[in-house]
Amino acid sequence: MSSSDYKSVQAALACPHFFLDDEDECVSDEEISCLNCRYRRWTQESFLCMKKQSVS
Amino acid sequence: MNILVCIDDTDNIESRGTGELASLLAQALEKNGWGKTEPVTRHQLFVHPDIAYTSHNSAMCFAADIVPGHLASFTGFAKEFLARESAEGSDPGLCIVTIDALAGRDDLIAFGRRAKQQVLTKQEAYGLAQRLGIHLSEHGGTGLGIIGALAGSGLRMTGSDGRFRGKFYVDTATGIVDVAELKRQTGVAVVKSIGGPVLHEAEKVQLGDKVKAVLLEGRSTLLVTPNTMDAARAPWQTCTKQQLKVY
Repeated sequence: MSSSDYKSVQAALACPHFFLDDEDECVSDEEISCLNCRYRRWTQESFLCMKKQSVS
Repeated sequence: MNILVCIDDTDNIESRGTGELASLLAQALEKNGWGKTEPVTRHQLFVHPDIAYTSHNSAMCFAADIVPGHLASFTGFAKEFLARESAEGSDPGLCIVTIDALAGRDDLIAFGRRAKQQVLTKQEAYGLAQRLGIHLSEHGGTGLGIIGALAGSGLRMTGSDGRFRGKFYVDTATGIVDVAELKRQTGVAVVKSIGGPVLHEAEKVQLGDKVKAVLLEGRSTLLVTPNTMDAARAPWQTCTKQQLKVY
């Protein structure tokens, strides 16, 4: 797991707003990850958390 | 009569996704006896600050063989369906391409490919749809979803873009199946390694958490990679979500 993936998993595990997105939109093999969360909005470089929590 | 149906921008952050609406629309087409549908594919479009996407900017498309005479009924149903079922604040668009009557196939494909790399406008989308005789309609909000709906149709038409919606559940006691059995249970046309050969029927594949098909060369394709865990029992393994996200 890359460093950024690890951070996304840790952030999601600690996040009260995590909500698993549709299976078709999940891109991480770790189910509970910001990368699979309905509240992430993809950008060209990364993603934004629409619940206003930041992941660097 | 072969058609493509594509929808985009029907959801908001709290609602059910566009993929689910596409599947419901396909089910309604069959339930009403208007024709037979093929599985829904997801097509990734350009992610850019100037585009008002919800979270990932993808369009959902399915092909159908529609009974002649029922196209108008289906089109009317689809328009009402999108207007009724799309989420508050969304900008839904509907595209229906009658493939047999399409003159500018290459132009539609080019539009789809551009939509993966550029910000396009409603004016461009309507102009192309009108020129090619494609149904394109908006059903709420700004109607910007017509751009993705037209683009998604073009990308499906390439035959090599997108992932099929949903994943397969394969019945196996060991987690390992041969290609023939994998094709029988999933209905995929091809099992192929990424960037490599098409697998033979007897070759063994170890199944991962996600068994999911992509659209390649016009066929539903299950991609595999060399098995790094248990190559002695199965030389191949199914792809991870991470590996499939580029499709």
